[in-house]
Amino acid sequence: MTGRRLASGGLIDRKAPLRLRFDGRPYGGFAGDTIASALLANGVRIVGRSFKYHRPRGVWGAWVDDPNAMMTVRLNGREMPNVPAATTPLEDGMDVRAVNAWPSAKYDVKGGLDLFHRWLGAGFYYKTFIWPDWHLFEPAIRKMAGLGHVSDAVYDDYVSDQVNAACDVLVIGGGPAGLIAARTAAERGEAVTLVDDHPDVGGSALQEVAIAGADPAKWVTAQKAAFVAAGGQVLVGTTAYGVYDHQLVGLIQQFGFGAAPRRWRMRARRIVLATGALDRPVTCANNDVPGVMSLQGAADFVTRYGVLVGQRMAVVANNAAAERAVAVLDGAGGRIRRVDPAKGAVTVHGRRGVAGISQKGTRRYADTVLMSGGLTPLVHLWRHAGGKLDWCPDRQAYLPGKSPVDMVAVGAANGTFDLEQALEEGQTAGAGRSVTRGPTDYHLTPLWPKPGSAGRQWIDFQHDVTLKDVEMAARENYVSVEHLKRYTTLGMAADQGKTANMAGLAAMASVQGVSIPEVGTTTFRPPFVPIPIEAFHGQHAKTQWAPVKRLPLEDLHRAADAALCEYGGWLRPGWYGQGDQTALIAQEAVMARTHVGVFDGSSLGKIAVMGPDAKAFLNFVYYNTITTLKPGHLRYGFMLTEGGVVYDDGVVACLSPESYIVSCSSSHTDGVLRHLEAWRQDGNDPDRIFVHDTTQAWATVTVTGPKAREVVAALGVACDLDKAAFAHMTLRETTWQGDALRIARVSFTGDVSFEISVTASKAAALWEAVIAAARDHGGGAIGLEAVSILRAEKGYIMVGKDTDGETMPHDLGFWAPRQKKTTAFVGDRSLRSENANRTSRKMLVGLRVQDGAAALATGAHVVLPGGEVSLGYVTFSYDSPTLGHPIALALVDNGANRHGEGVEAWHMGSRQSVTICAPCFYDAEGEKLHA
Amino acid sequence: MRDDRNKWRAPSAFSNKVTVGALTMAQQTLARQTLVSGVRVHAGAGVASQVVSWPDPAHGDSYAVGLRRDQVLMVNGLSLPDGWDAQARQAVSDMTDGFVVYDLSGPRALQVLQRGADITDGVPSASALRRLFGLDVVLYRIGGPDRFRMHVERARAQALQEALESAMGFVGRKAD
Repeated sequence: MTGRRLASGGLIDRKAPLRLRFDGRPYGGFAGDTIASALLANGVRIVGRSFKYHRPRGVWGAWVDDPNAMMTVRLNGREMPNVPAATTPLEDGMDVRAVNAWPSAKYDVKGGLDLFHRWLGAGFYYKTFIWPDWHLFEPAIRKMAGLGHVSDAVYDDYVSDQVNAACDVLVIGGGPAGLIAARTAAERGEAVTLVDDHPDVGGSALQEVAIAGADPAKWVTAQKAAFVAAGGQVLVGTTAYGVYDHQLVGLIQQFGFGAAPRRWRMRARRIVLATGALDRPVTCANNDVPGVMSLQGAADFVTRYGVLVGQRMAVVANNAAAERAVAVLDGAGGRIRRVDPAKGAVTVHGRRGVAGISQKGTRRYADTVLMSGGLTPLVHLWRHAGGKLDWCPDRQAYLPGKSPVDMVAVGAANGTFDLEQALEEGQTAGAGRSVTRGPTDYHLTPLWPKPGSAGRQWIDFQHDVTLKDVEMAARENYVSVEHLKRYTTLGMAADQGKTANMAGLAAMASVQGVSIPEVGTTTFRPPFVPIPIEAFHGQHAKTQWAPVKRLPLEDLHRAADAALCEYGGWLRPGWYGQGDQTALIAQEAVMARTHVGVFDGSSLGKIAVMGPDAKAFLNFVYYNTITTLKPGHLRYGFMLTEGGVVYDDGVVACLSPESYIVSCSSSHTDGVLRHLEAWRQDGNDPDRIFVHDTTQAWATVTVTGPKAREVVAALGVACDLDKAAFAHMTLRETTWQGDALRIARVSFTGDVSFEISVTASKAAALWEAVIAAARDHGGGAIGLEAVSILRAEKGYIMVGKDTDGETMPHDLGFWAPRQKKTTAFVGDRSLRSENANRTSRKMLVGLRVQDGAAALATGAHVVLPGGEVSLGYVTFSYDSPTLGHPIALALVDNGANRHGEGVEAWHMGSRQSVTICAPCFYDAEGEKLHA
Repeated sequence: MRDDRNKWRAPSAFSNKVTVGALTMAQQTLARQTLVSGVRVHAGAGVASQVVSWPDPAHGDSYAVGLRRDQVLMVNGLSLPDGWDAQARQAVSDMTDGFVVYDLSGPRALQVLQRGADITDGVPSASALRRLFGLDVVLYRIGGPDRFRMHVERARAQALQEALESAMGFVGRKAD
């Protein structure tokens, strides 16, 4: 007999019995239990297995400090791994299985690994699996690594609520000090939020005999009521898992098993840290045997769950705070034997459960060993916020030192373990005054690991890190605590140093012969407790994660059976119709070349640049000269980065000397807007230049092909479309059906083209009219895939596809501006650099394949015949339906000077002979373009 | 390329009005939205009698919303020609078709918005520009404390509506 349920006591509802199964066996519990308390009440000792040696593990602590009882839980068809049993409320019908054990925690088949522990010390795999090749062993090791396994099931409704909130005062921890701080602040009229990770507030109050002369439970109830009456907000079941910049505190609010937690991003003007303290394990021989527990945890099991964790309990404690816990256990009927660790080394006996304890050769029977090696204030959040820690020799603990901005620690978190003092600190902090830690009655005898002592002594229960591992790490010069942590895995994963760190630091200090503060601590990082990844995105996922931009004509494209694909953040028609995709795209390309094609160009940027300095400004941000651009005219140009690299290509339209439209690439609109805005405010007079993104206000329908002029004419716009009157690269502003209309004669295909823009609400009417007219001329809608072929046939580039992060304008054949432009422009200086003028720069070329050869693979490397050194790569390749043979564009070293040279395209081990040529395969003289 | 037409809900499948409990989100049709930039647009250059900021509400049908020190969005204001107005020294762009407008109303409407933005009444702002659910939105109160108006780029309207619908679901079923 070990743990049992007491006849009375605890916060459980004894009228609400619940059922659970653990490793296949049925047990019972009550509402208000955790999984761990229910198992202990049923006498279950072995609740899990350690990570490496698969040693049997029992419950260590009653709350977040328990590293051992990690479960896979199934309930109502929902399965979750790595559920901490000590903090998860029991629900009826839970099917619980220990992680890292099979077929059960009690009879784990891998338990035999412990026999090989001499060869499996810290870092063994770094040394053992080097020869012949780590990768031979890696799959098996990866398979063994980790704890629980994620279920294959997808729970669509498991979506975490994400809330931004703010308060004047955030009190973290609802124990006595936190409660009084919260009440005081609320009664001063401040907006206060009090969070506690338990189902209700109270904290350590439950273990007190009386608080301020009152029954502890009644005192807690009264404080909470007064706090709420003063307007305070209580969030229970809520853990503050991290503190970030600008007083941002991450909170996780739990709603029971299987329900996604809510994540709060709470901004607090000031923070009161009342997170309490944890019992430290005592490092002694066999201190990992099931039945070895935290003394404070054992007392918690009595007061919260009415569970006495053992019958004959040996208490190994070195500090004054232990007396309160011992009194609780004594009052619950436990038979207690005190063992003073100062009198000699202690050894725990037993393997699958505590069978006794010995000291100085005298062995005593005990079924449970309760340890308290001193209290460690929970200062994780303090460190997240950048607060300093001071070592306190009297308390043998790190305490909050220099405060981070607007954060104060009170009570046990501040090293104030005396109740009266803690209440005083809480009240002071609640009132917004600074807290001064007073002298303490708390005292203890230092009790730290002793290197060289006999027996296996555990420091990290979850990861099987022993004192010998720390000693070995020191011998191998991993003396920095950060190295120690990574070499041994001490304090990693769920524990996050709550039980393991202090013993580990002390052991390293002892090995080196220095003091603990000289060793220091590892970096405290969020999260304080394990948190589902789901909690960090919530609804910000799937189609709400980077949603595409939608065209005003999308419904019409859908009605026309368009395949909608993502192009540069926009959902645009790729092609139309059902059937063979390649054939459909080829048909559209041929239709546009022979008759007329219509495509939706609404996504093209339409950024208005206005003001007295607009022209000079655009001349500055463009590589090309803009000062000579006249109203009604267009100019193709490049925007460069300061490094001289092509950032965007587009067309500038001059509406008036003080008003321009920048038509940039669809995918670059947001970036170009930022680029323009940045340069407007840097080096230019922002009061004489204004930039508006009007892209969304307008829709653009592009008509291209030999019949384009006839189609536009059929619309009946008041505009002379004759080639002499409306030349290539000019613009007309007119009206259509009473509304404003812009027609730009500009081409991205190499054929006569007109980009017709109307306000977005008129787009559907325009599209339908244009499509109807196009049909009359043997044409119709074409998608972006066909457009991409047409532009490549002509040698028109797509920035980002036919350029890379080093491409400069002269690499694309645009030499003139940098040779002729006299005024400064963005990227100017970089174009004069040695790098910019290397002859070996990658330049845009075309590639011709041999007659009858297949199209090249996009991405194929260009190499010399028989060579292996890449000269460049293919950026685009397609079997041109217009020309009847494959075409390709490529970036090749010194490509502009290699036209006619035979090279090879290398792809996945195969080679294909190709000839470098000019990057224009269609209408090189421009007759069709200007027709 | 991959045909993703079924991945994204068609624009026509979005309802113009969504109600969850006491929360209502409804698309609005405004007669005119005009983006005006200039040095004096905030200083009574004749654009509107009221320049709305956060958290104070807009009143009436016609007003201007402060976006930046030199930029406002005029709502149902005078009809102004696009381009540079040399006399008023301001740049004008008609954005009536550029922004889709939603009103969100209900006693917990602010909580819906707090699902998508770090926004409280305690931090005022002269600018109504916000990053809401990762989208650039012009956001302000209109008519009273529990009604909010959002102007979002037309291309992002479905994204905002989807995010608002999700957030309304959370607030609507929130027990505490």
